Amino acid sequence: MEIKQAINVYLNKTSRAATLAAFRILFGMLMLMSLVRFLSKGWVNKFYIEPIFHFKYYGFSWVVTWGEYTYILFFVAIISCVGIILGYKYRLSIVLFFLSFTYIELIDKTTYLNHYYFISILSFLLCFLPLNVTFSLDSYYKNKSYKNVPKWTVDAIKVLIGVVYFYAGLAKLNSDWLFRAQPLKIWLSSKTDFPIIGKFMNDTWFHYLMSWSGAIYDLTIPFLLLIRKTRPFAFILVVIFHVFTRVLFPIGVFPYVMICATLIFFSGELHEKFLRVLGNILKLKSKVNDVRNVYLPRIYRKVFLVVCLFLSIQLVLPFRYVLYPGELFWTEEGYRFSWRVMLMEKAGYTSFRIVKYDTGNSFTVDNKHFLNAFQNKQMSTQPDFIVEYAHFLGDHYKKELENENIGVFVEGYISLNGRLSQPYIDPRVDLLKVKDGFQHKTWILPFEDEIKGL
Amino acid sequence: MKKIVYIIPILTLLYLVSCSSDDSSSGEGGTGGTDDNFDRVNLTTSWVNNLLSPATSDLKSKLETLNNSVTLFTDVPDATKLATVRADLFEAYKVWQHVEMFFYASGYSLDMNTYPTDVTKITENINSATPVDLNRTVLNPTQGLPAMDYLLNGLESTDNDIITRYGEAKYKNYLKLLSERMVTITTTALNDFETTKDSNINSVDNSISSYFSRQVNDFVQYTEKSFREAKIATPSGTRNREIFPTISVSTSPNFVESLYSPENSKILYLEAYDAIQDFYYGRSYTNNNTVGLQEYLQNLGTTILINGNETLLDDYIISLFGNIDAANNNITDNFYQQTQDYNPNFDAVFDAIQEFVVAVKSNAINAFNLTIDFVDSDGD
Repeated sequence: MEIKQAINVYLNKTSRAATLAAFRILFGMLMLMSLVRFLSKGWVNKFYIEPIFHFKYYGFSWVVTWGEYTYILFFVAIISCVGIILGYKYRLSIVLFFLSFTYIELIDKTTYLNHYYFISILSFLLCFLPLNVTFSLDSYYKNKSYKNVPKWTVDAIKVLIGVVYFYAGLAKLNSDWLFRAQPLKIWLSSKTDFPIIGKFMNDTWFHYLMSWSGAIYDLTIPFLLLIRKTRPFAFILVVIFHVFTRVLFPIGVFPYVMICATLIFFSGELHEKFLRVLGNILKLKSKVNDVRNVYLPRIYRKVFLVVCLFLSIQLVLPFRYVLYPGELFWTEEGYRFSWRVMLMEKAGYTSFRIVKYDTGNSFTVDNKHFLNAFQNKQMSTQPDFIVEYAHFLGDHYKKELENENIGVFVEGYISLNGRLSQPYIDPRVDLLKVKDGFQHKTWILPFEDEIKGL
Repeated sequence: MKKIVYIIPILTLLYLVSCSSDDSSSGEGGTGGTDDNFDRVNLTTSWVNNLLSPATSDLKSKLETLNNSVTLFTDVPDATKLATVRADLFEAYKVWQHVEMFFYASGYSLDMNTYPTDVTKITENINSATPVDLNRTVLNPTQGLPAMDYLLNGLESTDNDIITRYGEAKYKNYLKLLSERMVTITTTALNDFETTKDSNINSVDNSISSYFSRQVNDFVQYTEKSFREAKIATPSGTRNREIFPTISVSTSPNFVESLYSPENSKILYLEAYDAIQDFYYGRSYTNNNTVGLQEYLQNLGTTILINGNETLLDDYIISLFGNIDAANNNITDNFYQQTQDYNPNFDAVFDAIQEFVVAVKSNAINAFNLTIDFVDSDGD
């Protein structure tokens, strides 16, 4: 009974609507930037139009590229960003953004990045939250705005951001990261040209310093942001950390996203001030007459339950790897969607042999015929890519050779976090005879070492 | 204090935008930039001046010598002159082993050393009423060193019969045609390289299109395809046994290099192996110690974890060369004879080379930080 009471008390707590509105504007701006950047680099053509083959997420093979019309998807996403920024038909805009952005991501898992996944699930969450009840065209046209929103609508975003950091920190608690300073050692060692600190890049103490401080940062930052006293300090850390990673590694817009997203931890007054300043700069005059106190969603309980369910899934999903035997970094079974960022460096190659069973003749496939360099790189180190590609090759060569009786065999060597390269896939297994799925992939050869930790 | 909170990200954004345009070269755009402080130009200069140029020039002069002997032999064919032509061909064939990796998979390489040579098509060419255009890629296996090997060593079963053949003009002409062509295409390849030499030497960034990157990749490809596969795996049938351990898969002795003078096959193989070591150790064509991949790896101090010990990658690669040396001792001069049946010694050589290929292709290339034309990544 007490718990129920506590929940009810919590559900009735409120936060400033300005916090969500400010978040909405920053989110929209960043997504707009990110999409324009993607377009300007010519990546739409390179990743979604040019390749003749796309790697699919399991169960999403129906998400196909639109070829030249993929630009329409980007156009939709960009228009919805504008809608999000302005708070114009917000619900429609954010839903369209979620759908178009997620569709694009599902076309080819080659481009999977944790931060794209973060944007997808964050935009899903935002579909349920009232980000448009103040400082938006929606409230302007309805001539009605709200000063407050239920506290949990703001907290839901905080939880999601906290999960990203904390889980990324948990994943760093492994023997490679902490006691071998890998893979940072590999990545930093080649950066000796870096201004000022370049001379340390090859030093062992520097690798360890970076590894340990990275892990501590990820684990503690959500809490430092939650506590009012440490918040300004924490934010400065956030900025420094992300600037540093941005300059060192090619991680695109992710640092910007995280820096802006963590602003949600600041107080409602601060966000109100931000909106006021923004309003003054843009010379906006508030004409909303009906300013009410608390916004309450019409289907309050249901929305709350959906958000809770969503967040619970986010809490549990990263741990699904425990259901698989073998080393997670080696098999990558349950690796994605778990905030495992910058954790491993896999180097190596995978080549395919087509064998004609009737004659015993065989030949090696030149991957360049079917895959671009990026796809080839991603395929070489990830078993689900390998089996998918093997089936593609099987279909292709059955037709070309007019021979149903062929097999596809793999030779691959992978070096994980600076270990000696090891054979990766069982070279004696015909991959046409295995199916992709959620079951453990028995045709991955065992990892002849151990990485302790989470 | 609280105002700063909004100023900082804005300043950061400005700073990041300025930073990212600077470093996009090394990370994302794939156009330029190396990150470490090793002088790659020094390395590419060494490849060109100490290996490519002297080896290719030497090949050119060996081919010119061969061409002279061919002229003398075809003018008045006899046993002594045949012996000279054969010896000259062998000399050129050995030098070729040092050249191929620098022209890997080029049209020039395919013209020079596509084997097994196609005897049927060679015969067609010889008997052709119209002049044959050897520039056609389908005619790769009718020319170059392997075709010369056939024409001088395999045309007939006895030397006397071979000499008799060269009484006929069409045989003389075809032999001269091939020999002259090798001189011509080698001269062209050398000149073409000279014109791009300076820009190549300075093209050392991490992108796939830089000369540095292309040559490292070609070195790996050469070691894999031209060395391991063509010289060892294909003739001995190692490949298929890997997949079908229980099925006896036949060997292919006809795929041995210099099939018609197979007593030379191991010598040619060892020359190629020597060239591979030269490239790694930075030994010049005239055997002086210069800069090679080894120095680069030493400079980076790259280590790999082997049985729980962080080992210098360079030390590991040196030990792999030791393994190849040991395995090489168990195969004898004539590969054709030795690949008639299953020969575990060849499998051992294959395995030893394979370990070297893996170490270079996976660990060393990674250490050099050669990016593929790349995009955002968060390391997963």
